[in-house]
Amino acid sequence: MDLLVPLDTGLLIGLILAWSVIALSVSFRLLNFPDLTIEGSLLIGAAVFTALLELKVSPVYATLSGMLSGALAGGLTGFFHVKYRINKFLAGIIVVAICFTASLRIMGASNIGLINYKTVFDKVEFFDKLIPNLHIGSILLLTVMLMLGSLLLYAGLSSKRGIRLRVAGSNPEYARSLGISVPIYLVAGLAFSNSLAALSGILLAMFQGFTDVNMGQGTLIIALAALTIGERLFPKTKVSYHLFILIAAIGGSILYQVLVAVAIRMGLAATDLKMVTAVLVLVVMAMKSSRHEELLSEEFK
Amino acid sequence: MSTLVQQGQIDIQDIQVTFERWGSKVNALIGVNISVPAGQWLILVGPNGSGKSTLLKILSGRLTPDRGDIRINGNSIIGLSSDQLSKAVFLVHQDPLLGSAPLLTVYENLLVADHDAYYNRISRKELEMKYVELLAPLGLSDRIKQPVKTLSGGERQLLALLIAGLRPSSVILLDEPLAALDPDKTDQCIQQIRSLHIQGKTIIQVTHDEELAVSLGDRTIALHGGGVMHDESDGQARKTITNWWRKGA
Ligand SMILES: Nc1ncnc2c1ncn2[C@@H]1O[C@H](COP(=O)(O)OP(=O)(O)OP(=O)(O)O)[C@@H](O)[C@H]1O
Ligand SMILES: [Mg+2]
Repeated sequence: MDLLVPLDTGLLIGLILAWSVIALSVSFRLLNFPDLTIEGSLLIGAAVFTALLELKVSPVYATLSGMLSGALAGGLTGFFHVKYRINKFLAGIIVVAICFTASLRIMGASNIGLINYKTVFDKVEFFDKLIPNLHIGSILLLTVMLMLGSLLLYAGLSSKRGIRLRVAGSNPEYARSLGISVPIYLVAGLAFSNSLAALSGILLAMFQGFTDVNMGQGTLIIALAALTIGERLFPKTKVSYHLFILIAAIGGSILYQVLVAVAIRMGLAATDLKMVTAVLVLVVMAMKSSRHEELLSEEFK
Repeated sequence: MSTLVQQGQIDIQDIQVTFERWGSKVNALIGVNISVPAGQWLILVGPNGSGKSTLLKILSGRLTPDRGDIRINGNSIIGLSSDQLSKAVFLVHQDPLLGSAPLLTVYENLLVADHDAYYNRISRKELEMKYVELLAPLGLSDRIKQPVKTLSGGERQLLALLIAGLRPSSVILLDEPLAALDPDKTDQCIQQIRSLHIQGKTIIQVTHDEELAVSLGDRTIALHGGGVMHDESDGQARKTITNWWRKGA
């Protein structure tokens, strides 16, 4: 069983961060908006969640509020871009900075432990203990959440409004000629995607048992690496682009985290992780340097 | 809306557009007046740079003129929201890449443009049947589930014209819809435009094909240097435009 331990940790983190990767794939691939905000929304989600727990708010409301704060962050980035024509990257950077300071203020400390609070993970503790060192209960819980969430997301993106959102993202000029309000869809889309990143942060805080103001840092690179790996490794035949993107995000996130966990298991220090990420991405890209350079996404790289 | 004005009537009133280019001024349109009755199929010709695309941009609300007014169905379109504009006019781009959402499927592209389907509850089955029927004559019915990216340029142009037919707008603007098509696709596209005409849409079509310019549609207008040079509706008279054109304007 010991051999499986890194897989267990990798899987858990992969399932948690998958929400961030989905967030990135929605903004980056469907809205054509390389959104840096997720670094900030992941943090502020966890910060709001933690602060509310401290105020004795129920975990459910704390979670919803945390996600709302992430939505606010994403909406702000979109608003800066459409209203003041601020460059997409710059708008994201500004909001990440705002989130960092706001989170510090909200928490009142740079690190808050959550050990004393009951979370969803405690509810499945019984199953977690069935097999030592393998968190069966947590893994199942996270998997079910992710499945349900992505099914809903898929249905939403396939709905009439979802189609409008994707048209607004993939060809704004054309969307306008159909009477679609591109700015509204962009702001709403970013708010939505960042609420998912915030959820990621909340789950991460629950899982690791603390919230730290630095916890958002590096999310973007990780999510991008995971998405890239997923997009390269999963076949894209015969499924609609938004379904493919969701599969790639979830699969990529899990795969990436498991590989990282294995790398650590093999003796690499946590400080080497950045290099590991770089190597992983390069290896996958080289392995599958696609022959027919994708039909689907060449314009949207 | 005035009851005297028919759906699709266009009044172009004294439109003037000046571009600033590298510090010098370019007069793209110099006071153009054209009145297009509802349901007319108007062909717009003229040498490169004569202002055809600029005129279409103004008619579709993408550009605001320095002077003059555009009235569609009797109402000025200047300052309308994109939602209101989209109900009055629809522009098919010269570049078929621009006239659809490439990553979405053919079905999704049709659905998002289909005004009726958007505002009414129609089952997916029914819609699919409707679209397959529309796509069948174009030989595209088996492509309905594929992303538009997998269509060729000509097929995308056909799709764009099909989309135009689904729009609620009574005015359709076509900027060189037949450029870059093989003879076969050209025929199919013309057929498609003809059916838009039969639906009762008012059509303004730009072309560089001197034969089609005087054979298609009801009327030919030649622009030159940003102004109307010729305006003929009569079959014989339209042919004289070809001669003028041949002589190099
Ligand atoms: N955005 C712009 N900035 C500066 N000048 C412009 C701009 N758009 C058009 N022009 C100028 O306005 C004039 C009319 O251009 P327009 O595109 O309307 O011509 P056209 O008749 O469509 O030509 P073509 O047959 O080549 O498509 C040209 O001299 C062009 O250079
Ligand atoms: Mg032109």
